[in-house]
Amino acid sequence: MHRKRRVECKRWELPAAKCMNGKSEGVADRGPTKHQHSGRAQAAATRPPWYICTFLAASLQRVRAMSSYDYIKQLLVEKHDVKPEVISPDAKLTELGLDSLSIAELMFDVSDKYGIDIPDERANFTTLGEGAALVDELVQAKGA
Amino acid sequence: MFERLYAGESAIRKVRSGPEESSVDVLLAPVEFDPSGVIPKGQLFVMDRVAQMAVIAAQRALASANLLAEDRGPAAAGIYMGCGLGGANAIQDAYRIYYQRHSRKVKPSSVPLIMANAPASHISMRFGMLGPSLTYSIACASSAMAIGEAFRAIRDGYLDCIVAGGAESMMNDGSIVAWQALSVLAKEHPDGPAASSRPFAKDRTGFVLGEGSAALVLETADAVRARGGQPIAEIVGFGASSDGHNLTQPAVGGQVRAMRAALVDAGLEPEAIGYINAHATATPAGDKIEIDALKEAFGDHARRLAVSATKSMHGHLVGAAGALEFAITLMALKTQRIPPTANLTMPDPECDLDCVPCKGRPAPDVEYALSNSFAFGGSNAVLVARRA
Repeated sequence: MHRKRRVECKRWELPAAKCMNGKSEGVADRGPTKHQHSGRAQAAATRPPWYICTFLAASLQRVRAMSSYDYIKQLLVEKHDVKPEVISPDAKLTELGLDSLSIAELMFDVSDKYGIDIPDERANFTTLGEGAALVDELVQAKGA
Repeated sequence: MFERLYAGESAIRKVRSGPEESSVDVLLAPVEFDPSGVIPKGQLFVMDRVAQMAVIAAQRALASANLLAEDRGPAAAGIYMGCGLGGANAIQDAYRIYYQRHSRKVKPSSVPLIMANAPASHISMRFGMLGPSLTYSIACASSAMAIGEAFRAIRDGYLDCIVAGGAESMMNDGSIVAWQALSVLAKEHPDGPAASSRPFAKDRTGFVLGEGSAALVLETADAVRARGGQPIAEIVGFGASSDGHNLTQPAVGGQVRAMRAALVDAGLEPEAIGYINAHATATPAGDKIEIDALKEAFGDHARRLAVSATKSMHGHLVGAAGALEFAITLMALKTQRIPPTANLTMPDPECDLDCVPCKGRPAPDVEYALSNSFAFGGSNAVLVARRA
């Protein structure tokens, strides 16, 4: 037998009907962006002599921009809601408030972006800088 | 939302679906929502659309019941949710990686995104509610069953407060092609997408897939009164049955048994009921079977019932359908206004009850209302409510 009690329904709510989001994220975007080189040779003939210095500086910047560190930082901030000010090359992943699933997802996203496999035996890095260096090394090894 | 339904407004429109090179127009009733402010940004990647909508619905339900203290819900509350499939988008993403890219490396978050109990779990975690969290997966009756079981858990003294409802979102092409293959979806009507879901009409062709989440806070009448709260309505009965007949074809007998069980549970004669929110998906076979079941369960009184099919406007929310339609039923009791069956310009002579065609109407005399949910698989759930 039930112990019968009167049950009242208090409140209800639902999101307003209208339209849906676009595609789900995370699958379509693959591989590092290819840099544009077209027209460089023709332009070189007309360049002033000091151009070589700016060209070197630009190259250095490009190398830094290509480092996986920036991408990892971007993921941490945008996807995992880590405050930018606590992110540094010396920061440990476990100190950034990430749980094991978040760390696994981060490694997946980075591997996916650069088209690399991070071997289990090399996934024992502790700091972001070490992780980024490992990714950069694997990316370079892949390109060689 | 109730006002828009009462006015006969439809959420159904045409959406482009599928890969760019082979995309097609599909009739859907999609939802727009913004999770920011309710769901922490760092949690979004581990929440499929269905779980995000569930947490937002629960937040609104708890907030309007004045049960959020410092953004947390009642610690002892339970969560009873219905969900037909689970994280449908994550299923598609994982298969896309596996079959399209031939990679065995899918997202580590795939399993927690896909599991059908994720919506209930996220509600529990987000609002710190530590009672039992259950997920009922009974296709189109999932959330009606969840509310019915929650009602029993409170009535039988197991819990004092439950967030009960349902969530469903299958608006990706992998899911849509499966529904299309079943030949149950509506064809576009010459009058446009909004006119395409036509329950009880002679020219009905099937349902339009909707999505969303609806959540209710269930409490004992004493608890609501003690807090000085205002209930929307009172749940008085729940009945469930199985057809034991066919996976996709409903049966009059099972539906009748569920409605009778609900009336017995509520201690009511059929004549007490004034309004019925029908399951009526607008498939040619299903609507007639429900009308026949209503005639059998209610006898002569069937002709005095107001029966409306709001799927004509919000589409078929599958695992969230029962909760949404029961919520609409409660609002009909509270506001004493019955929402219409939209697009019922040409009634089917075989659906010859008062199906509230096209225009909502005041119903000051309706004290009890009933909401039907009949699932694929032959599971039937019927909820009865009384005006508060």
